[in-house]
Amino acid sequence: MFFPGLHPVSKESRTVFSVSGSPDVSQDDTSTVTQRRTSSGSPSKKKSRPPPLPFRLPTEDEERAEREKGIAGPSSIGGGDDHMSTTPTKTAPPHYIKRRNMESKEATLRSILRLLAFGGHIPREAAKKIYPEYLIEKERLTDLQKVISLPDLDKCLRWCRSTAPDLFWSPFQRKDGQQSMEEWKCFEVVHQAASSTAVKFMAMMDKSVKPFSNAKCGSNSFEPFQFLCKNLAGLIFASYRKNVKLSTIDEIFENFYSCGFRAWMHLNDVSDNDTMDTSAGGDSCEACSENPCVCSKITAVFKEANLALHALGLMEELAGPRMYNVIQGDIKQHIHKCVSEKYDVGHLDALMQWFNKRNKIWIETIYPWMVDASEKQLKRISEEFLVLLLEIYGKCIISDMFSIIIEFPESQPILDDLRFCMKQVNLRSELVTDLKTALERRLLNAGVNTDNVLEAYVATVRALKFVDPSGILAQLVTPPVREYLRLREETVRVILVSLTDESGELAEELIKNPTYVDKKTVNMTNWRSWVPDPIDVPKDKHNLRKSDLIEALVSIYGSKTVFIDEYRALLADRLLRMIKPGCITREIKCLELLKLRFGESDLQKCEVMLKDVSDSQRLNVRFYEEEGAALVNSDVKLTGLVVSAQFWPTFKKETLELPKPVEEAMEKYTKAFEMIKGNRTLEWQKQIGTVEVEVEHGGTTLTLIVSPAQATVLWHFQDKEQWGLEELSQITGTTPSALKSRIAFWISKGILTNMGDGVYGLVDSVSEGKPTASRFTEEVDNDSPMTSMSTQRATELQMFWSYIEGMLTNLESLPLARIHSMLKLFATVECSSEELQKFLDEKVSQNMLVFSAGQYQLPK
Amino acid sequence: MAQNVSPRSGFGGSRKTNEGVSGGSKDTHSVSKRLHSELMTLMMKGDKGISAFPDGDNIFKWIGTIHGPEETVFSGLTFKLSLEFPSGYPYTPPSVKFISPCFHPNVDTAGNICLDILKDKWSALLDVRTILISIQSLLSEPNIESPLNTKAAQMWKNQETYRKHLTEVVHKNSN
Repeated sequence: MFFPGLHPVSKESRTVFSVSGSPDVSQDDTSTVTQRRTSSGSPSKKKSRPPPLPFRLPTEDEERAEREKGIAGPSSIGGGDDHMSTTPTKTAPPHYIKRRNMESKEATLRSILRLLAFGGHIPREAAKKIYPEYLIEKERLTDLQKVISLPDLDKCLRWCRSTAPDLFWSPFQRKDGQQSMEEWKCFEVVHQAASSTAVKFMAMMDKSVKPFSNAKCGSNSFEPFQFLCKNLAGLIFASYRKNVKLSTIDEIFENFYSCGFRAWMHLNDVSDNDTMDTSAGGDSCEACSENPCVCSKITAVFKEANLALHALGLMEELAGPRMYNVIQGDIKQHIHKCVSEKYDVGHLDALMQWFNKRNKIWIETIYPWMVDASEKQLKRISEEFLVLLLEIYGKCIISDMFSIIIEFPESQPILDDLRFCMKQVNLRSELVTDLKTALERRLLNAGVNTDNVLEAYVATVRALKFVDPSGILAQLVTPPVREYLRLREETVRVILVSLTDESGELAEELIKNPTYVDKKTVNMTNWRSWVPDPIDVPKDKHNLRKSDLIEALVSIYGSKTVFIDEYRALLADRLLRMIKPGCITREIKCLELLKLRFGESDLQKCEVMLKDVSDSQRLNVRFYEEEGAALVNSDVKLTGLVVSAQFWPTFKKETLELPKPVEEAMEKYTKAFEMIKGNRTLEWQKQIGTVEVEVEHGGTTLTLIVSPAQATVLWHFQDKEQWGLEELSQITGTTPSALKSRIAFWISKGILTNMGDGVYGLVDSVSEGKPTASRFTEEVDNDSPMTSMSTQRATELQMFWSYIEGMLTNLESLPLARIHSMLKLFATVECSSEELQKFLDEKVSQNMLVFSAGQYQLPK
Repeated sequence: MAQNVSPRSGFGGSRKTNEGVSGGSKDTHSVSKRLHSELMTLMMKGDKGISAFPDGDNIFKWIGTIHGPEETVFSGLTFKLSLEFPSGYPYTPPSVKFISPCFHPNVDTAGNICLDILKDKWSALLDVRTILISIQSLLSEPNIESPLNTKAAQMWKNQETYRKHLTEVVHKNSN
């Protein structure tokens, strides 16, 4: 009776036992899950637990009884020592079976399940152990034919083909008429289908595979089993269409699993133990909505059904996907419950805790024989679930990514979580597409201000760099935003204002400043840590990865010249607007920072501009304050800002005749300047500057800082109370339209009034002169003295055009690329190929060019 | 004369001929710089009837276009020229030739031009623009005394036949 080869089987059987033993035992045996043990209930609770579950191993006595009955059971169970611990269960037969009237089936089912489950799924280690034994037993063990005769095999097959599917699906079918099924019933359906089929199958096998007791541990006797088992699974799975609707199957299985898990959780979730214990009579149980609670029954049946499903080989294909759905739904629900819009805290720890608890339940119920299986396998399965959790969590974060990014520095913890998720699960493409659409939908439309877009862009780059320091994400996500920003006219200005303004978001970024580290150098000693780029990353020349934020912004435009030009305009504007050529330390600081970034040579002009300002200051001091200064006695105190024409942006051309005293003062100033500076003279830009005026009118005094043109207009009203527009425009030397806006300024201040017919006059009294409207007020003030960037661009393009014309007259006809390269070579003005094409196409539409066969030429 | 000598070649050096000039790489750089600025002025001035542009990527080789001056026999005709700048430019004159056929007393059948400023009267102060203007005025006022194309010189007296010959024989295919 005791063969050496029996040993492995008895080992396996112990495995079965501990699975189906009371939960307490299995918990304490399982060292992998610690949480549960710490939270497990008091001993008294343990006593109230349901009696042992059905699939405990038969004891030796039972085995013998079974054999006498002629029901095949694995005869190989030896070593009563192994079962010492089961003695208590022997005395108390599982009562639930009585209730469900299954005694007759039990013994068969037991052996079937054990054989099938292990026949189909021998752990590798076990197989290894079995193998040498098999060699020893080889002579004694018979061939396949001796175990099962071919006609028998045929009979089995036929049974599998014709009877088994109907048998399995019939419980499902019966319920088909009803629309919705109670969960409990679904539960029963699955159990019934699985176990009855398994029982029948086993009975069938029992008849055919005659010398069952001789099969022993029989590696070879499992072969027909495996063969038939696989056959059965395939046939059952394939035949569902005939019998049952797919949706019904889905529903039933999902109900089955959700119900099963719920019951398990109910029994095991010790934290909720007080309210949800089986002994908590009165109210019906939350999990199974029965009174008294049948959770323990459910869990027992649940396990059994799972084992049966597994034994029949239906777990993976039939039940698996549905089970995953249930688990997924469970995770999703939980995550949404805890994450919901709280971005400033990480949820990962809490989720992991929750997960560890759940994970154990899932494994215990779905893979009951696995609890004691090797660590490795357990790990593999729980990792699968963990990935599922992380994926769902990651997706959940990604779906709210836009809001998270907007709140970036605060939302750091959740981005930390995301980073963790992304390390485990590949969510990159999901993140990229989702975030791209979110950005396009919420950011890139006309209703959003440029500074908001910019802010979001900055936050996006920062947040994505946080998630993925290599910058690949940022590079993949941001192109639409960059493209869009490029189209907005005031982007450069907004960026620069933000950069140079002390309170601006980017100012601190500028201060952080870039040490020009060459990041390209590969550390050869550390080559193992080198990670290549993913294959789908575009090879962009403006590589966001190697640049910091400001470079990322500058790269929107492709080159820094646009930036520097705009900065120059901005700087000039600021310097000219200064009431007195005064405090420029801040501008100097800003310029120094920019120099570090863009290089000294490009910002030389700006430096000259600042130097002009400080030089002028010194000059003014010399003229007015020093002893024996040239202009000490002048009536009009005129401080000049001497500007080097070459280095400042071009000013708007505008004529203006200033009042006589001012003109005289200017002349004096010029003379004084010429005295000091020898060969140089001054050319006044009369329209630029500021005038401090004090208007005394109707008893009130108004002190204002206005533009020279505005002051001039008011000056003339000193001599004459009413002026016609024409007259006034002649004397001031400005165009009527420009004059109108100046007058409008004073009207808004309540000093001038429109008398009709293009005649303007002083307001007679204070009462009449209420400020009429503020709609004109600042309009004039904001007028920049510089020619706008667009006009500058236009002149540049005009130069282009003369080059292009020259090119085409001499070289007849050229393709776009050739024109572009020639311009780059000879005209030295930066212009992208797309811009050029746009320009040329415009010319074509104006009939100034002809485009044919890919070549541009001048019209004849 | 002194202005025609490159300061780098020194005072003792003999005057270099058109072909014999071989400047160093430094020279080439300064020459191309000069040519760039000449191109710039030419483009910006936008003179009527004359134009030139580098042919391809080489700035030492240009193509020029001259429109025949109004109210002459050449009006309405366009002439293409090639200009090649030696590395000694602007101290040595460029070689200028007509590419398109030009029936003119001072232009031979190969397109060579007999013009003093392109030979011994060359000055470093001249540039592409002035060369083109000179050639344009040469078209309307040929030097009959020293013709390269005697047939043209003879025909020049009778402007009507000249014009007829131009349109019917020389420029039959073009325009």
